[in-house]
Amino acid sequence: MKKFSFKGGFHIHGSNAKKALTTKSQIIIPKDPDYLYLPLNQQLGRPSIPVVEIGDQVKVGQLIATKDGNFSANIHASVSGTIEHIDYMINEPSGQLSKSIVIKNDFNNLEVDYITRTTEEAMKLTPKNIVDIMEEAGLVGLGGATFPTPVKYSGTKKCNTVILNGIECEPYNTADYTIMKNHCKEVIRGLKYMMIASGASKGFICIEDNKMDVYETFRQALSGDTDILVALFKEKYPQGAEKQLISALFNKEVPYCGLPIDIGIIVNNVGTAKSLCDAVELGKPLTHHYLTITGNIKNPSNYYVPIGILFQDLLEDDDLKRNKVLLAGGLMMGKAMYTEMTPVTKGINAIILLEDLPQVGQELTCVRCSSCVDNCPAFLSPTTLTQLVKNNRYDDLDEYGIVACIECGTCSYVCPSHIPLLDYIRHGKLELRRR
Amino acid sequence: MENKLKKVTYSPFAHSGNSVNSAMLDVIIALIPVVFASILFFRMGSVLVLLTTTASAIAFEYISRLVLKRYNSCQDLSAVVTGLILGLTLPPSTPLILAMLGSFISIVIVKQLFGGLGNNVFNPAATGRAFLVLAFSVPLTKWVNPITTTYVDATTSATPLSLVKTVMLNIKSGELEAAKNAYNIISADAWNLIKLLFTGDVAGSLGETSALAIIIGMIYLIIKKRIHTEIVASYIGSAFTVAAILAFAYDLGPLFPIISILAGGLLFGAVFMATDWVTSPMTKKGRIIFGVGLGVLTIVIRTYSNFPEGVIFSILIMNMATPLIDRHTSNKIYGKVKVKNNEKK
Repeated sequence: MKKFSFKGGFHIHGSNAKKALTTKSQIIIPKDPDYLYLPLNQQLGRPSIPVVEIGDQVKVGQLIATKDGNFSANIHASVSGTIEHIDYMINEPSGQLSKSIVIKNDFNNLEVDYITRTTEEAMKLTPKNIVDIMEEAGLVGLGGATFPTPVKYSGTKKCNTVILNGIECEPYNTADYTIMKNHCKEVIRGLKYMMIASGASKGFICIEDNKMDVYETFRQALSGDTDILVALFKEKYPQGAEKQLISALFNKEVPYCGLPIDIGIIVNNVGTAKSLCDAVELGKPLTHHYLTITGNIKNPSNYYVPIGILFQDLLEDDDLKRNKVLLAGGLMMGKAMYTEMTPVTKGINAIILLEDLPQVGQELTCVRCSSCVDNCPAFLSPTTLTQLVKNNRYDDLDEYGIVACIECGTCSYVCPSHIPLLDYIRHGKLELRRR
Repeated sequence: MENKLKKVTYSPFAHSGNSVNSAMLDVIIALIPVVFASILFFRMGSVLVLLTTTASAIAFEYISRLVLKRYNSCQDLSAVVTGLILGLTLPPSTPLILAMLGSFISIVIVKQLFGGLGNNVFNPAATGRAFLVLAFSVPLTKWVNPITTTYVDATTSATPLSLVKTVMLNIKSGELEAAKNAYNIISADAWNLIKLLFTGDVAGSLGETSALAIIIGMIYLIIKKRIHTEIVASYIGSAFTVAAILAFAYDLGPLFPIISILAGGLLFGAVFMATDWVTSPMTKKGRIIFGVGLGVLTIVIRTYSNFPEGVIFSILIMNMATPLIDRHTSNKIYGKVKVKNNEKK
């Protein structure tokens, strides 16, 4: 059996033990909260524009904010109730104060009338139809980047391959694993709709070798299929990054500053495929998604949560008191939240509670051990970039390829001198953008 | 209210646990077999020299950091490594005051005045040793036989390397017959010599005599990923190739390259000095160029200069070339098409 892999990267120590916390757990559907907070800039791109007013009654699945231009996404209510506020009142997980729509739950769970289709009907849809459904449903990339999905499919460049990313290389996260385990058929149908929408002839489902059971399930489900292949990957961080995935699978590189579509490839997360399947067949917009809640807590598990629920409503008080660090996203690429009064947005696929920040020693001089250079999946020299940033040579950063950095955190993770290399690189990127 | 807020920082929220400290500790562990072998063969001479260089290295590190008003860096163990490696490159009969002077050059001049660990241009131990051998060549080339020695040439305590040097000198002056005769002295008992070189039962510097001990240390460091295998491999490989070419050109027999590798400080230099993180290039390509340069220079210096040993000088020369190598061997950035220099701007 061939296992694909990319150059660079490393094995995160103990990542399987961290995943094992939640792989066997049941999916928990939390109690509906009293209030739901839906930030308007949940997606990459421009914030959505509210189409409801304070006092309006909304149903589950009703459009409450519409996309602003192409590079944006619709937002739908995930509970039924009354609109209480539309104001700058809560921090969304990226750390900014964001305009949010607050819905007071009436616990009636009234749903809008969804347009359902059978699979046969759905297979006859035109690419334009499916892209419209994606736009309608407010689909964004659920892998964490929240790139509006329809944008990938409405470009003029020709696409020949769709890759479904089920790698999930973050050490704690198992949300994608849960989706693949429980919704194999939906994921495959979602991929088929993606292939129709893009006109691609080939589809790949990528799975890391620490999820062999899922790999076998997909292999069996796709045994007669010649268009869709299941590819097995060696467990390595950051295998789930789309550029590293493509170079591992096809030995091709996405151009510098380019997107995968430039070489005829679209990469989507398995969660996105599942949501697309729901949107096409059940007519359901993106209102709920899977979430791993794990770390140093009593009952680590996977949850199926409405978007907009506060972290506070999902976590137990004991666990919150015990732990000093609250992460949204993942251990390697997530963001630390300063408060549990943060809503779950479309891009959050894990909440991790840690006892404390890692005890990293004092920052020393670079000893040129070259572990960052050897492990960088974008083949950069993080330590050189850091030197440039430290010396305020921002104009040279582009020459050293800073834009290729995918911010995976490998350099900071391996550095024996405890230099926060990624922080310097982020600062350099910001400075470069400002100029 | 205050204590309810969570701690924040930037990702990643994990660290491998790798540290300079543990890397230096691994090097010290890898040096244990070498130190043990040197004590076995040279007894008190070894103990005194190693103790002097190591203790004085730590003392100089502490004092210089104090004077330079920087934080105390003794706990990163790099001074211990420098002291040990310097001591192991010295002959057992080195006067202790010179050993101490070597430590001073290594730690204060080469390392701390350049900004401490990470900022030094040259390998500290190699520079200390080079200074000593140039300034005090007489005491630094007085060799002592191991206590246990059984090697034929015991009376003059010539090192195997000086026998090789005799061959080389004759090649240099064009006296091929003499070179061959000199080589015949070695090759008469060649397998025995190789065996002794392997175990270390010959005259030489403290750490460089026993190939076996060095190889044990090397395996440990490679398993722990503390040294870059490509430097060791390309260094030894290229030195072997150049020596083999010489052997072929002057008809010296097939064992000459093997003896060239085992004699002198080549193995010790390749494993413990050339692989120094700070002074070696940062990309794979660069490290291979670095190693090949070392191998060629070592044999060239051994053959065509007045010094019997070329390891230290080749390391210092390649240290100088490291920034240049780094500049021209950077990895191809993901997705980026290389722009030629004249097409820029």
